[in-house]
Amino acid sequence: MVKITRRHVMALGAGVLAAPLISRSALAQEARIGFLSSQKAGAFDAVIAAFEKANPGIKVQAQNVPFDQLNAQIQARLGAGDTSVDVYTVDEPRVPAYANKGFLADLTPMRAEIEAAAAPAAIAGTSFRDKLWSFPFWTTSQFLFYNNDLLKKAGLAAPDADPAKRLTWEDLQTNARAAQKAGAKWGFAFDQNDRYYELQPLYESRGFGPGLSGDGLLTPALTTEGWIKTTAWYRDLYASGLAPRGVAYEQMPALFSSGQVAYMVAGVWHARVFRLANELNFGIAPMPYFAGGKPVTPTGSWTIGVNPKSAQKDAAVKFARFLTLDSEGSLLASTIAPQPPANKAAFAAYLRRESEAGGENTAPFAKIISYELANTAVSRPRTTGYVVFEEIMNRMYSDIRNGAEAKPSLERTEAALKAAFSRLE
Amino acid sequence: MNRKQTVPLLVIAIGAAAAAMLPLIWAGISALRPSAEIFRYLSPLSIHTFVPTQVTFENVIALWNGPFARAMLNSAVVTAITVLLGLVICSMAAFALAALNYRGRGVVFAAMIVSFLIPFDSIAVPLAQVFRDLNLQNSYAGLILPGIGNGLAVFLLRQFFLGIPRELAEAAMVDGLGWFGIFTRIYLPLSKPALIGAGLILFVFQWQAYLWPLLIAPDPDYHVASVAIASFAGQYDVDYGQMFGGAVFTALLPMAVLLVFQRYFIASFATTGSKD
Repeated sequence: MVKITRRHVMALGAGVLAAPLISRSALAQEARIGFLSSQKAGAFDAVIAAFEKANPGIKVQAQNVPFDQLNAQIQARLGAGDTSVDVYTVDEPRVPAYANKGFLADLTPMRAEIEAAAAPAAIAGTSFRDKLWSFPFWTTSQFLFYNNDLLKKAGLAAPDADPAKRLTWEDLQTNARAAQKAGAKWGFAFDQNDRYYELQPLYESRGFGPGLSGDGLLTPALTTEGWIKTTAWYRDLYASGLAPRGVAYEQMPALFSSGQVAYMVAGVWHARVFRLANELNFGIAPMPYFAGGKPVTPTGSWTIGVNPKSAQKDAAVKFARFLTLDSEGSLLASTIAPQPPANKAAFAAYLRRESEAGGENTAPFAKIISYELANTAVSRPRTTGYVVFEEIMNRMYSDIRNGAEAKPSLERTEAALKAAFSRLE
Repeated sequence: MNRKQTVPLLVIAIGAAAAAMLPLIWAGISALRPSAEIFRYLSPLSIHTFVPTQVTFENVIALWNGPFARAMLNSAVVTAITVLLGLVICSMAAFALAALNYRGRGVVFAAMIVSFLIPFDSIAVPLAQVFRDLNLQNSYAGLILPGIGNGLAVFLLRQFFLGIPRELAEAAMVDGLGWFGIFTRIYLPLSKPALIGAGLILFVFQWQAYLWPLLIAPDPDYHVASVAIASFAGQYDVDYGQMFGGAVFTALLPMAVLLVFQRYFIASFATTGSKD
């Protein structure tokens, strides 16, 4: 048996105390900046490599956390004054809340430079109280993806790619039922099935508003007749079995790419993902709207914020600039996570690249995105209450999708939102 | 129990065990499928749910060539050190609570009990702040330290130590052994099952840690396996093949450890507090 002596114990103790000294390597000469995002590991490798090549002496360390944990991470780390995050991705409607909490460096002095490079709609999303708080990075839109084989089986024509001839939700529902009868496991699905981002257009299309009203958009308005009616419509998609219940949003694209869904409303970035799925015969069309209403599509995406407490602020701003204002950097950053860049020059190149890469399946890619961004895109409400609003709303949609009744859920959510908003400064 | 009863019971037990294993088996098999195939046969259940139509090792190869390999190594190192250091610290604490007589012993013990009743997740965020102030973020020490003082392990060891007859210590003292000698030469050798039980508690706590490593070690060089698995999920694209592969490999090590030490683990609970 090994004899444990007092000396062993002392040595162990000394080892514990010395461990932090050993593990911190001497990187004093080199600026090392942390870049926090919710993309999967490796998504920004190409742009980071290009940046480091152009800026010897700066090293960028990508930190990835799952989307659902990003907000908690930002609150916990930036709120505690952590300086290991220098640059991070900020969802556009969260800009006011983070600016309010002092998590974002003021970028107003760079306004001219930002305005020269980025699309005006994207810049609006980074402004709060007449100041600029983050760099516009990506923008988004949605398509109606459809499975050609499943449609053919049901004798349905492919939906028109012309935005002026888009389907109504009513027609889509009829077609989806027919496709399901003819063999599709699911007639229709939302990809972000319980995310406010993708569902807000349902209400906006009928003119029922974003669910928030009043000064600073801090008064919930969810129990109006229009909201109840539209939420019940959403619930019915799942209650009637047209759309899949109990499937997490992360798995929705996999359902479509494995040929189980006839129609799916999903982010434009999935075009690339579906292209990579072998043997998937799919097409894209504009997102539907309610008959009698107007076409509305969601938009607003990630922006790049700089931690005001960063110890390497110059290097951090340099990297954030490269990601957003530099057209080459911006295009590289939208390769693995293929979101449309907010940078004007990179956006044009992105449209060319994605349209050409897709062949026939995604031929109308550029045409639809350009039309939607110019004509139908509606941003999420810009308010200091957005972070908590989104979390509570997403939970509500999840409950409703899995069977909760629309009206009582909306009432409960409205009360929860009122309580949460009253706690904001 | 006669043979007639044993056979059906055995069949039921094997069936229940297989059913409990199904999700892990499915994940393991899915890691060997091309990504487009993973969810194709999930529902309705068919033979292809568990028998892949195509087998590929692409996911497993990519997994071990990527950051997961380093994360797995980190997990192993962090957990091993946690168990070793934790056993030293917890057993010394338990010894002080069981064998030494001093004023306030009951209060210290009560505080220890309370410490393991508070969920670690609820103190993780403020604790992370303290660790950052001590400059312990992105370091092995930062990952290991919260795991080594485990109230439950102290409790388990104390109960076991209480069962060791005091006469042994008294006799040793007459023979000239100090408290440290009594601890290392009498209590520890007699407490192997309890030490293994406590070691398993420390092991499981550290091996499955997710929130803490995520908070305190965001640097990919210090990622542990659970964090590396989570980073296969991007907002727009989840690499299920690698994720499932990682999950299965991460489950195998504790499974092996538990299989080897399970009988001690049960023994340690069974004899806890026993005076015999």
